[in-house]
Amino acid sequence: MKRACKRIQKKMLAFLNHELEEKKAKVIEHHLASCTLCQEEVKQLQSAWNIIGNYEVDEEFSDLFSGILKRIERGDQKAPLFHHLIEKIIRIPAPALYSLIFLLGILPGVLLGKNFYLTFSDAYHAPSLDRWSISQDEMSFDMFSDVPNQSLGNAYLSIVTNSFKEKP
Amino acid sequence: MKKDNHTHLFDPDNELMKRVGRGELTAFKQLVEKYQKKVMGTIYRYCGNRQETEDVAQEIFFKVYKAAPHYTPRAHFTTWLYKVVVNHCLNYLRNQKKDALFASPDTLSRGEENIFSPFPQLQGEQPESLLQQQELQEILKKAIGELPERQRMALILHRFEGLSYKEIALVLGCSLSAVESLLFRAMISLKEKLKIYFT
Repeated sequence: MKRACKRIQKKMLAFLNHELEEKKAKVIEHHLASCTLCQEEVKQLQSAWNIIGNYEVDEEFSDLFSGILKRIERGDQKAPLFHHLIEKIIRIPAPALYSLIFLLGILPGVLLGKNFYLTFSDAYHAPSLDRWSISQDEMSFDMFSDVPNQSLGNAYLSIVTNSFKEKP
Repeated sequence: MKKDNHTHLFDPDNELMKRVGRGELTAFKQLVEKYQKKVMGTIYRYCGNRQETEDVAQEIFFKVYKAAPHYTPRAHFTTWLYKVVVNHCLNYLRNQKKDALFASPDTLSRGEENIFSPFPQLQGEQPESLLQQQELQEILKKAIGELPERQRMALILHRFEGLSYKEIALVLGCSLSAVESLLFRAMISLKEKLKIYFT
């Protein structure tokens, strides 16, 4: 089967049922005028379609409404008062309800987290500067004696040594 | 009939649903009486069993009644109703673990007989055409029942309920080309099974 025929046959049912746009329908009509294979396919499809239409529902069904009514009455009787109240509350649109729950959850979440952090985290307690301070005697600057004058390193050294002098 | 985007606003069935939402049972009865044949026809062609059809139809209309208070008409009522029917059929039968190859007790009792053989020998005084008609009904029932779920539903909605491709796409929640594909594959399968009946 040619590729064009395969493509056309996929659209055949839609063509037969007038579900195609006019432009596409014309393309298929034009193809069918010259292709005997597709003409045969269309005939078979049409026959099958017609035969299927014979499938009838000949069953006798019982009265539906009375059965549904009993179900409705049963349903209303079973539900206690608080179920009706809950049903009324839940009738708030679900997105609004979930947003409200989310917002209400943020504040306690933040407070809880902060409390947890304060209780268990050592990092919050900033270390005393005294712990890290060293005296000039402990720190030797001799190793920096070869730093050239008026260089960045020399400037930095003078800041550091001056800060030690200023410290009580 | 083409429907534009706003005609659902004037759909009388949407008005009926509003009344059902206010608790009017007479409006609900009108709705049930108007659509019960269509709904049960769809379900029966889908599942092939009378008792199941009645049970499922009751469930569906009960759901319609419960949904009425917060029903918002975004499309034609029939589109929404068929959506409920389709979803319920697909879920109900999946829950029941039904095989797609359903068969009536009569078909099962035939044993080795090939159901697709030419017209069987006549028995008794039954007219030939009536027997052939019954045979055809059984064959169609089986052939359609053997289709995969979505192909079967698309075929039923289009061939028997008269829904357009666009409406079927809305009901099944798929694209137009998907509907085309479903129906094409369904028809290819049925065409093979019904070839002997072609004139």
